[in-house]
Amino acid sequence: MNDFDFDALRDPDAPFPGAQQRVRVNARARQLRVRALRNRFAAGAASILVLVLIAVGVVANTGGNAPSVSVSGTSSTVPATTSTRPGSAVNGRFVPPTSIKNGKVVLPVTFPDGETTTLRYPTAMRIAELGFAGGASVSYPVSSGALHCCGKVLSIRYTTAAHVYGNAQPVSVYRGANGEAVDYFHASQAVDPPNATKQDYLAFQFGPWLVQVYDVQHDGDFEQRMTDAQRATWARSLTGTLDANGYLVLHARPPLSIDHGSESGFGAEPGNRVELDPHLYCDQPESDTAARRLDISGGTHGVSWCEGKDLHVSASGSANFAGLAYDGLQVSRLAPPTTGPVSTGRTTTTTTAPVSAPDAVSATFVSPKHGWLLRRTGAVAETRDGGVSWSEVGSLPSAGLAGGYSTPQIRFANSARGFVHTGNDLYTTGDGGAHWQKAAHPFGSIQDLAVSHGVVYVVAFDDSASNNFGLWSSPSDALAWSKDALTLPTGAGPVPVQQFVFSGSRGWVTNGDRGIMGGARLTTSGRWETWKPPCLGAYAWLAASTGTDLVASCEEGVWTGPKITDAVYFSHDGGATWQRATEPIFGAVASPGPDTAVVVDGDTVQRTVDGGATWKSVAGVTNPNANMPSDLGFTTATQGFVIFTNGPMLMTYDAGATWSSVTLP
Amino acid sequence: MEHFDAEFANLWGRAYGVAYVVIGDRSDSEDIAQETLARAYVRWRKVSAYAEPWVVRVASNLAIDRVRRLRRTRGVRSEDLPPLDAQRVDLQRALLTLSPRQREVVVLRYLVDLPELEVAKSLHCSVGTVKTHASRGLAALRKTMEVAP
Repeated sequence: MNDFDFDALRDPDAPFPGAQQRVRVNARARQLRVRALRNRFAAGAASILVLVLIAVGVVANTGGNAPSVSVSGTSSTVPATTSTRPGSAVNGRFVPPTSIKNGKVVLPVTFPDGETTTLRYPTAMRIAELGFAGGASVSYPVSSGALHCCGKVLSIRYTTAAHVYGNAQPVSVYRGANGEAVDYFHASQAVDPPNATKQDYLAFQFGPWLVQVYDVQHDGDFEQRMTDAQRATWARSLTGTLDANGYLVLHARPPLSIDHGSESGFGAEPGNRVELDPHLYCDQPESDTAARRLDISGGTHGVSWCEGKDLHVSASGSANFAGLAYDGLQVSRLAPPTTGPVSTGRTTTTTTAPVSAPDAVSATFVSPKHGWLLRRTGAVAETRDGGVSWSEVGSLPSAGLAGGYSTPQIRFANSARGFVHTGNDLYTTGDGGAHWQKAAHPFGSIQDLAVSHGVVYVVAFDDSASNNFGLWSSPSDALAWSKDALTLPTGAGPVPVQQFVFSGSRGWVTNGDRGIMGGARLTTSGRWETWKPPCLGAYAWLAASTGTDLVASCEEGVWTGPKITDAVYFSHDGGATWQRATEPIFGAVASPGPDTAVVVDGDTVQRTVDGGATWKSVAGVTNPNANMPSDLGFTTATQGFVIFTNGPMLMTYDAGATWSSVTLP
Repeated sequence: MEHFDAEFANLWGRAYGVAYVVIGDRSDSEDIAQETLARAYVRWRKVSAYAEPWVVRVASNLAIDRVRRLRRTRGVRSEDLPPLDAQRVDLQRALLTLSPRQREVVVLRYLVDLPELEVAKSLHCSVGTVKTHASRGLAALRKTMEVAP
């Protein structure tokens, strides 16, 4: 068969991956998520805290208005006072407000990703006074050689750049999302503490909070020094707000996204500490359970457990502290981010109600009033008032949507005839969604499905002899599939993505696998011809508002490097030529009319009405799983919808200027 | 979605196996398996749907990167390289010459020993394509080996 005896190259005594390997992977994963930033700055705090003699400062903070974030250097650091008060700092950690109820201290906690919990504990524990430091992990997909990664764990301290770097001039300055300066410092410039790290930092000042993004000084095996463009992207894509209790909440715009796994907590080694680790150390075979586990090592006493499946709690320090925690520390389960004003970078908008339709997957309208919505359970809901109210009308015969490569979709041809594909299976209804039948089909896994002018189109893998994706069409009322002569070649894998866009009798399809490789458009004869889309090599979304007006949003360089550039392109000649808009924006795109488009990322809707020259943030949602939308589009020149994956569904009735949240039955 | 731990042993073994075939060093291969699995773990929600090909690809890329780096940092003084049998050196050289798609197929098909049907499914192509890429990949390997000193 071949000249190579690959078997001779294998390890005859390959180690079996046991618990030891699993633990090492956990440790490295933990390192990837969380670099040990907390301890770096925290030495010596405990000795100060021992001197804290004054009774707990108990304040019920009623502050209704979330303070706006400003660039200020006014925070005071009071590391050596003999008392603490809410809003003060302990070695760069934040002392939050508390209240007392039923003899216990009530301490609300907000993590930097916006998730919350509440601690209740005996007053003698004095947890709030230990000072809170948050951890946040932010993903920034960067192409580095053959690998596509990486996230960084941010250092978040309750201090100022002036305190840490004295009067040092930043090495360079970048423009933040709101026009503020974001300074870049060399490790050697830090004066408090001096020479603590060998990493350089991009420093954001969000009110009293200093958020630092580390940068390695030399390219390493698994991480490379940031380019100037990458630092600029960080600077303009990361923003912060303060919640009512003074905690910092971070917000990220693409290409950045906030990961929901972080290490946060009160206090620092070697003193008393309460560590709170959302989404990190629970729900694994070797992890803690709800049972409180006592542990003594090296003279430190500790107790740890999992609160629910996603919040690891660990209290450690003196025997007395651990004992009090074992008997009397209550931690509420992790709660998703609450709504509040959110600074989205270009403008400030109010977030919509949270997670009103968290299991909506796809929607379709046959008129401004009449539409359907597919839920993750396989249930189908119908609206007859343009999306204001929805009622359950039917359900797919199989429970839930089996996972295929592509996102399930629902599309209707008229008020009776509709289609759902789940990636693998195709279902049809002839009675407005009340009953659904699985339909046999001649193609493999379905990548996209569209209905236009009484014809249903499918782009799917060709299971027959060819190695390509094919384009099938059929009259929508009675299925009789015919395959177009044109084929779409497979790419380098492993995640092929094809997207249909139709406007009237015109249609386009993009063919991507990692990046866009090519495309086709529908001719007036009903056949497909090869067409060159924009964004070749990039991730892309396409939308059309007329037969000649198209919009594409691209993430260029995401697979090929050397750097990632977001771009929006407009075409007014049916996709023959494209004009690149100046603002770097990327997301799922929908377009109600020429030169008007909305671009939607994980939690923000941005809109342009002038062909991409200027953009305005018109809606934001609090979306714990801030993935790209699973479906979006315009039904008319004014009415459209967006469904965030695992998040809310929004509707607009004014061409995307304002959005409202949909409530499901 | 498969639970990470249910897949752990299989994926670790895959990563180790492919790394070892390429670099022939147990400690390096364990490092690469660990790194690969850690990367899979932190993005498991995205990776789980196609975990095996993902892991194999990342592990083989890490292994090939390591070969590249060893060559670069150690220059031409081949006596400094870890003792490797000639065939592995040839394989390393040859893998570096393949196109990404060919390398993917060769790695999945021969280095990891996935059946053709599995390779086809994981790469979302037909068995015929796998056969084509595999034979062309092997031909390229042969050619590289023939011209090699």
